[in-house]
Amino acid sequence: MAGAPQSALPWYEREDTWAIIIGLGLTFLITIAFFAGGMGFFKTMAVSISSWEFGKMDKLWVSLGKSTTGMIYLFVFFMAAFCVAAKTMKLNVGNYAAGFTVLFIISLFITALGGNGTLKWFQLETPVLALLFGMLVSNLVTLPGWFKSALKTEFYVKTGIVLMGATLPFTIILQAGPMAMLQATIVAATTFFSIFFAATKLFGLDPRFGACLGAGGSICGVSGAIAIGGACRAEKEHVSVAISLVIVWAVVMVVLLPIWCKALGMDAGPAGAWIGTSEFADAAGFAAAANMGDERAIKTFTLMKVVGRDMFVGIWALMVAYLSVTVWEKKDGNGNGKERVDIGEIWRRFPKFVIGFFVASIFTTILIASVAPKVGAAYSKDALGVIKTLRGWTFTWTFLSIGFTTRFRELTATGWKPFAAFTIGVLINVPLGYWLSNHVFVDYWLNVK
Amino acid sequence: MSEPYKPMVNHLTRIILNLVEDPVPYDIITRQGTPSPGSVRSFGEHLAGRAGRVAAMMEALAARGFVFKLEKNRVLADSETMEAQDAKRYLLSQGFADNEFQVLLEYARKWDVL
Repeated sequence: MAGAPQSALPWYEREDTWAIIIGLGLTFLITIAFFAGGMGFFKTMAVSISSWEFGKMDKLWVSLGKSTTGMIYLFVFFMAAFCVAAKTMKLNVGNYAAGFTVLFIISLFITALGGNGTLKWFQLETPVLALLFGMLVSNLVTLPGWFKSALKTEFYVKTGIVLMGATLPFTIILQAGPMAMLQATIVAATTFFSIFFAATKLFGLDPRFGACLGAGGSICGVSGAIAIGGACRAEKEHVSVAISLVIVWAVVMVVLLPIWCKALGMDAGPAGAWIGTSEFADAAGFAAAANMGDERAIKTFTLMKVVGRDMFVGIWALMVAYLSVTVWEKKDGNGNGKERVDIGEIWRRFPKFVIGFFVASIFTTILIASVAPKVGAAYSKDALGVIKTLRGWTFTWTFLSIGFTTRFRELTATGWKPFAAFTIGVLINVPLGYWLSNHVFVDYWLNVK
Repeated sequence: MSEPYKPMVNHLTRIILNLVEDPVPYDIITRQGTPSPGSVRSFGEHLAGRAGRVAAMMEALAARGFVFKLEKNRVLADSETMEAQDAKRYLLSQGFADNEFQVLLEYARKWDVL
């Protein structure tokens, strides 16, 4: 839940808990329905709108007409699930429900628009359209509070990532995971230290500030800046500046990375890996990867971002916490470096929703391996096909939420020094990510199907 | 930095006060060889001394608006207003050493940005 630090909340009121419950719950329900022979409800709910062209709108109207019942099911199911979560997370359920209703209607409109052939030709697929539409509205109009309460970017993306786990075979994670970790470590370490040293040595900024900027640009965007900012006890101001820079660069990269991938003629696998390496935030990265219009890009993006980068934020946090206590604070005269830093820091900062991602992946992989090949193939096509479509809807709500919450006038003034330090990191990260994804490790990424 | 800024995060500063040191100083009992009533009494006095230090830190923190809860064998002192560095500086200024407490800081998005 945004607004309240998670440590202050019991486990059942935490956003990650509910993302796991909804993602895994949906996976289990669909599996039960598949084996009970009752997939009708879920198949209807998995609304997918056909492609259409401006002069031939009939196809769109027919597709929308056929999907009416599905849209109602989709709305009712997620509204119910999210409202239970909202109630437990102590949100105003009335406001949330009203806001989600509007968000859902907009998502239908954007998804329909995203199916247009001409817009697709201009690279304006649903993710980018959702993002641009949200940004346009939120930067022109003051959004009402009840609507803002439904803009749960992190909650939707975490739910989507758990569902992503169900559709990503664990065997792929095992095969490509170590490579993702290696590539992510190379890029994260290079970028982190580039930003950190630029911030501290070139521009004379506080090392804790440098660590926040470095984490935002290298580990996992806003979540990284927040986790590392907490671990090294950076000031609120430093974390806010790092968040602002992450948002600005993430939005720029959502647009630029897919364009560059296509312009450079990259295959979907390496393209997704590059986006996973060089995009600064999970939600924005999913938008960029989805904009490639190929499932393989989403898979390699997830491997890089979730498995390669997000998982290790706890280890970075422990290192930075130790440095902060023993070096930086001691130097400032704030203690003699004897304060205890415990290893629990790793778990404390670990993004818990990742557990749901792995459980979902292991569950469906074991299930497919343990049934007859024909049944496994049918499960992959029907059950996982439905999960994939539903996952797409959670991402669309994510992309809209990013747009609606990216209000540039509310970003913190960053000053030129932090901006320059962060930009140095971007200039190193992006070409390095391209080189590693499309040259050094290209064979691995091409093999992810 | 001199530029005005808009805080984009909320924070929770948590001071962890272990009621018993970790590891528990059982060596007080065995320091003179075999355990004796006197060494156990010394151990008890040591624990009482520690409890007294924790109580004193709690009093100092309460004066700065911290609220307390008990978790296992430790007292957690939470504040959503005092920043972590300031809290540490404050405790040190009150005569406590930095190995007597542990500071945790957690940030959360103020609104649902990215």
